Amino acid sequence: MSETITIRVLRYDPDKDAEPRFDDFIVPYRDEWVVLDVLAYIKEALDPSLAYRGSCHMAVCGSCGMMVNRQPKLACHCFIRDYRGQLVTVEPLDHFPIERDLIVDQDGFIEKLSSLYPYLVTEHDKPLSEGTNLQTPAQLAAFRPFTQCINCLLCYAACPQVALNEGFTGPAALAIAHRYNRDSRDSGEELRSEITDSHHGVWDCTFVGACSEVCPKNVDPAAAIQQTKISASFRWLKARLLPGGTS
Amino acid sequence: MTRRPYVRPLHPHWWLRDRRQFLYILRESTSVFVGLYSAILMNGLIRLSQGREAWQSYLDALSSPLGVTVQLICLAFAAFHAVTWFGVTPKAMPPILIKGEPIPACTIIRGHFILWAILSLAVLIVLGG
Repeated sequence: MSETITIRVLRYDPDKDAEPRFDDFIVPYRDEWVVLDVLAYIKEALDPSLAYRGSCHMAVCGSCGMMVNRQPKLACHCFIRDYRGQLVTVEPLDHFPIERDLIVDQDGFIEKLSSLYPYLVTEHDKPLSEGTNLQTPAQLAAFRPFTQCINCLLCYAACPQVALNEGFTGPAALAIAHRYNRDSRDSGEELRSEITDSHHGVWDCTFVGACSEVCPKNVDPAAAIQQTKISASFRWLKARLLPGGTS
Repeated sequence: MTRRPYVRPLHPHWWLRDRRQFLYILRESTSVFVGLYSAILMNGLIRLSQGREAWQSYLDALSSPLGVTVQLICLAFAAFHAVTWFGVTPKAMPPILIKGEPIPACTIIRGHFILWAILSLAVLIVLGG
């Protein structure tokens, strides 16, 4: 018999189950398979009711974030050869409500992200006749690493503060806010500061650093948050010490 | 089809289940020992203000086996505290550009260790002299 590997998958059907349970599947072992391939095999050959998200299969779309042996991973970026001979446990991302099987409810994240004006905020509409916005390489370098976020939410699953404080804005949303704040074309930092500088903004972060360790795109949300803490502190001081301070 | 998202409760021993989280809690708990050593130093100041005998008994307590053990434990935790914080320092500061290039994180961390060694050496020389 050819080699197999056992995959333990968390299952939850809101129509039938009071709480989640685990199902074990024995699947063929293929050196080149990632966890996403295994899930596709299970759905096609063993249990068509299995629900999971996945799309690009190349760590770009951010759809297939899940816990693999208790670590937040992109299922498309996670070779089963690294787990050869082990039981592989696949669960939905930690710290999110489970919608069904491996699918989580992302509404909370989307609301938090939306509240941070995650786009270029400009003071005036610029007519087309004025041409494109130019940036120097240094201006681009200031925010470019933070543009790589694919909203896969691995950082939320890794962060204990997300679990302990429901209101915490969280790593990816704050990193994206930082990305726009650092963009020379943007004027929205003051608008975003209402959220970023608040208790549930950067100050709920205790600098665990796990978000940056698990990020598959090397975005470094921990750095973004600590840098925002510095900016927030200056804003706080400026508002209190300088004449004309507003808050 | 019903929409009934299930919220899994946080495991009561969440920080013991993952090495990364355990190290984080260990790093945070070092502050207790740093605080304890600060309290020992503050007590030294109080004892100093109470006269020669009080100061001498404070020094005797520090050099007793229990005193030495407590100080060694505090030193170990303070060193762990320093090392872990040096490790995350590059994230906690805005990127410093030299000729348009950010200083590499490892250079910043090494700089902190070198400064730590110089300051420790200076303290030893001053106290030893």
